[in-house]
Amino acid sequence: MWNNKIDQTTNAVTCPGCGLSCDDLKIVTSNGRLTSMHNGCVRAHRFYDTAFSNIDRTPMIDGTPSSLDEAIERGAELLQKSCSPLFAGLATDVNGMRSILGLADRCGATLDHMNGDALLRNLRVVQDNGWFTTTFTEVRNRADLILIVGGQCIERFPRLVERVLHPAEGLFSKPDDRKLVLLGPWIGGRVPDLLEHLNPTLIPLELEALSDAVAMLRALIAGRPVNTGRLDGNLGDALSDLADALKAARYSVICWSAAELDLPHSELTILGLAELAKALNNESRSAALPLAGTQGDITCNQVSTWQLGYPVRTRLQRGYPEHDPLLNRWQDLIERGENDLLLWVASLSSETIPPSCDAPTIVLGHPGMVFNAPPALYIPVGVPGVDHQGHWYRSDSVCSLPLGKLREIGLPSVSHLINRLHERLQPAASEPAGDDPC
Amino acid sequence: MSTLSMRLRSPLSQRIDMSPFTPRRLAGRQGSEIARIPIWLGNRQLECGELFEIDGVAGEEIIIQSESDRLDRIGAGMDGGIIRIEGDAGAYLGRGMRGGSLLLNGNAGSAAGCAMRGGLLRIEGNAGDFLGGAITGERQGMRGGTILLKGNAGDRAGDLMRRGMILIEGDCGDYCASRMIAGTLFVNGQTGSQTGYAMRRGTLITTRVPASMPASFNDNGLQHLNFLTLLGEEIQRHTNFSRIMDRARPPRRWLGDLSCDGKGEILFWD
Amino acid sequence: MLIKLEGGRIYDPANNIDGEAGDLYIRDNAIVAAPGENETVHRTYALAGKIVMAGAIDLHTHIGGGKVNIARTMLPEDQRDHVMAKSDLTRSGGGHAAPSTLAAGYRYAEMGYTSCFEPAVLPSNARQAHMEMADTPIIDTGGYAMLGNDDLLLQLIADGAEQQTINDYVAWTLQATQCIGIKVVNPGGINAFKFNQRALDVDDAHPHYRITPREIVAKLSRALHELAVPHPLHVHASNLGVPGNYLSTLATMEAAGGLPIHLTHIQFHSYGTEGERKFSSSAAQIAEAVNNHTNVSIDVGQIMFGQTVTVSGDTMAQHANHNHAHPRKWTCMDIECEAGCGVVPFRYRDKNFVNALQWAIGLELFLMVDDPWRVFLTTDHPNGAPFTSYPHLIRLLMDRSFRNDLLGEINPDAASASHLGSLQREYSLYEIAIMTRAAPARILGLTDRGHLAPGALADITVYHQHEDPEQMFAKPMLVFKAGDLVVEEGRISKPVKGTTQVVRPEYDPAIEKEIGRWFERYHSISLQNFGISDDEMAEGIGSRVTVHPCREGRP
Repeated sequence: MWNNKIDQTTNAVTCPGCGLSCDDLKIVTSNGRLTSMHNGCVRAHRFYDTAFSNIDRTPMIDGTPSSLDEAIERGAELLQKSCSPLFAGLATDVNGMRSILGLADRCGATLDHMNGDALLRNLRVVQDNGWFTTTFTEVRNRADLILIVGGQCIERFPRLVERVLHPAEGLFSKPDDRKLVLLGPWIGGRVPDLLEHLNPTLIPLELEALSDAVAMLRALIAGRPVNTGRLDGNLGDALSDLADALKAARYSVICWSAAELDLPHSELTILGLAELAKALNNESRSAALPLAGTQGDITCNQVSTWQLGYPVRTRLQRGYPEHDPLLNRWQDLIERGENDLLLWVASLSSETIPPSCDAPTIVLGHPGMVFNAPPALYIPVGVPGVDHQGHWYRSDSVCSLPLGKLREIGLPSVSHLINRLHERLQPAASEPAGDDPC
Repeated sequence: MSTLSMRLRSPLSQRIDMSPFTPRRLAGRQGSEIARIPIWLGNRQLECGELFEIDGVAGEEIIIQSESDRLDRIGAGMDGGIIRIEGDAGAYLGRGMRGGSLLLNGNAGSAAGCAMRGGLLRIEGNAGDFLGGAITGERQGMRGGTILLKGNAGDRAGDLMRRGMILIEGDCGDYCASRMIAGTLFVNGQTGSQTGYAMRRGTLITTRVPASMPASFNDNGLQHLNFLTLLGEEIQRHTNFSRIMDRARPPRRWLGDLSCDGKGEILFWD
Repeated sequence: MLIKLEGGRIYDPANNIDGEAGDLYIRDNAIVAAPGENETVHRTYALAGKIVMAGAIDLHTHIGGGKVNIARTMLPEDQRDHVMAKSDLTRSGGGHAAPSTLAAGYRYAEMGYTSCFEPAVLPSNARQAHMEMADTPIIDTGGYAMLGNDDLLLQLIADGAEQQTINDYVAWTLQATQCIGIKVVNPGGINAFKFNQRALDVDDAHPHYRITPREIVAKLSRALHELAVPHPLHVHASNLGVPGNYLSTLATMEAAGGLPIHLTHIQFHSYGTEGERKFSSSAAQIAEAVNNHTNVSIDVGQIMFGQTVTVSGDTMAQHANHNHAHPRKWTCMDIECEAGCGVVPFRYRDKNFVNALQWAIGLELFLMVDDPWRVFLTTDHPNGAPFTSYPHLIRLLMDRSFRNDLLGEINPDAASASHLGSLQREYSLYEIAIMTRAAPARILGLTDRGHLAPGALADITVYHQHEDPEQMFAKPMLVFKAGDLVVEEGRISKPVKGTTQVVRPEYDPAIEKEIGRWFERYHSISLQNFGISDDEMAEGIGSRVTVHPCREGRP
């Protein structure tokens, strides 16, 4: 809820704790402290408890407390002389990202989100092939068969069942009649109660076997002469049954979490899932539901794409955007020493600390961050949805939701700080400086 | 034959784009002029001469001497002449090249030969992932020319390959020939797991059983294939490894990837 | 500060000025009457021989919203091939078929456009449309919210809800989404596709709701009329792209029952089935209908040859056409029990019979519709072509011999199948000014622009006279936006920020209870987070709201 003044009780609070972005939370505060929360899951509690219990606003220069003005001065100094700045983390709201992109243009920075690996697994599919997706309200009301690939969907999205898979009622399909299939590492593992109550069909297999399973499933749906015996155990039969069920469904939905599918080249498996959904639309209706949106990854990506034309892993060094999923990965750039400055933005969690990096690091981070070694500069920032209003994208990327403000303790927003840093920079010289440190 | 040599003065932290430096683009230019060509290093522009010691005359051949692995796009788009690299190459070696010879005596980074259209790319050392692959968003990778790799390739060699020939003397990593559309990929050594994933057409020949192939491939049995004789001759023009031709036995042929209506073939001797 | 534009040839059709030399005065953000003798003019631009018009207005261009971003994501090659480096005054970006927002804003301004409207705002994600438009420099913007495939409305209509209820729902939507108009895309069809129906003609019953597109169009057009919203229902008709669809288009016109109705990108809806290839031009029938029905306005949606991307809310049509994608990749989406979208890259080829005839059909429509106040110049950017092709299109309309030369180069069978070659008409500058300034302002109810009388917003474009209209319109000499000089000689001189244009018809707030109940039972977003407040627009979205009045004298 975009609230203009801070009330003790705030309804319809949008929670940025995960990509579900549930916006039905009711939060009660008193004297700037959180006193109660309704409808929040374990992640929401973690998010809000962390935010409300970390209030130290003190900027630190090389571990020493400083004023905000001194911190800005120091930050501008570091940015001014950087030849190869990397802006990473990028866990912030829409306005934070807008400011970051303006500064990145000015400084010739490279941009990548902390969840870049997960993001790119899905993006590579869109860039090379496109996909057919759906959104939460559609799934709530329409799905009669839901296939969930992987095993962590509840852990990552705790209210997934109640908000999407199995709401109280659905317009066109009775949630109770809905079929749920779980294709994932359930071998020896417990299915979460929330899913168990829905009488799911389990197809257990290790994540490493997923690429084969998806390939087989596509072939079975297309009626090609594959040999299901090439798969271990009963997997082949289970996939045959699943293929039949998908073809017979009126509106099947295929879900996965790209962050969970953390295996080399899993974008090929995701491509297979996306193509599967597309193929099912030849005769019936089907769509994919990629689950994402944590630490503001969808938010960051949307803003980057509309302002630059490209998603993350884009550099602005040469004065125009250049996107390269292979070369602009933040982990690689740091490991190879290609950046000479790291600006790490992480406003949503105190645990998402920057990696250790040879280059000096500026952290615009959640209050209360604890570092292995003090960064060159740390400025605690406001948490979006707690210290300032903002906008935030949901997992299905089609809904941008308002974030409200729950307290005022003087923590500046990422957007505000980046704008101040930007203003402090000297106009860019058209000729390189004489004694160029690069 | 006139030769221009460019020696990298000292190691680089940032990557540089070497695409301006091809025989055709530099033809007729004096060394002093070449030294003034701007190169971006990070967010600053330097002159080529600040990074490279330049000798000789620009003509048919360029020699690049470098101990850095951050020289990207060497030979990108080249369409004639020769570029020799003494040392390593960064990413996108020979990207989109159309003709000429690009000869590397060290190792190449990712995406060597990506979107290549013609000419010869020869690498004495190893290559990174996506050898002969595709540019982000494009529907095809390599579409002409020949890549000869004496060492090992990383993962995804031949990804989205559409035409041309890739000859690998060493081993390949995983997902070799992924999404291959057509063309010929020959691996003298060992290919890794999920060889041929999402293959549509094209031919992958390897002398050993792949570590694994997707479950959606089918065993098509032993095959006598006449075209292998012709292929062997073709291969011998580029390299003297021809174990493939020494084998009197017919190869085994697997067809796939049936996940995508694939009519690709993987041939190997088991 | 008082600025004088001296001696230019003024084309201001809203005030019947047809090229007479005259002076204009700008104070702050507005055009003002000639000053008194004791007032100082601070700056004078000598414009003898130059052409002066109001800033141009594009009433249908896909410049903001989730599906435009999908297009950008899906086409990195479009960005790679068209980079835009930053400059002292401008940010970097790029793209041609799917430009980045900054590139779009700069280019529109550089072409003399000062107001542009996104026609397909998804109510659930209106924020994104407005955020993208807020990040589109210089131009004023606005949007049309999409209704007519939302399950809530279809249920209301199926239940026989009172017209007043529908009016309240429409008015509430306009307020909540901060929009200036309502659009319906393939009425009922996007929704039907979710039930696996692949076609829905104007009098076909929806598989679930059993209502027809005709009923949807009738209810919505009546709602807008009764609410006195200036802009009529903006309709992307049923059966887009289908040979023979001109009949659906004529039926859709009738569905408004004589009330104002605007049919968009009508070129895609003007196809017959004659000839060997069963694809022919029905532009004549459509033009005749438009000429005979003064309640109907159209924009053409001209195609141009070359690579572009089709970005549309019509999932049904886009999915049906996905095999024509070039390059062969495509995306579709079912969205929030409200709408859908499809993004399919496309290349129009002059040697291809169908594409060549589509090109001819668009031009036939321009030339056969008599009233320039009711036909608007669009390419349905980017669906027909990127908006940067407008100068070329203007030349085609103004220069018959140029047009006929190009006609000679297209697929000859298509050229024969069209009677474009026999159409003599050439648009005058005055008519171009009507079609690109005065008329769009009027049909959107923007009384403060599209004309140059005192009181108007100082959105002014000055062109060098040139015998080639394409060159003239491609590179204006000066562009003023709200009194700021933003473009000089076709280059940005001052990037400013525009505002969002909206209308606020009144409604009975009781409707929110009914909507709230629906949201609570079926939606995944709470009603309280759905609507966008003015404060949110200004501080969060980043674009202040300008409210335009509804028509006076509600019926």
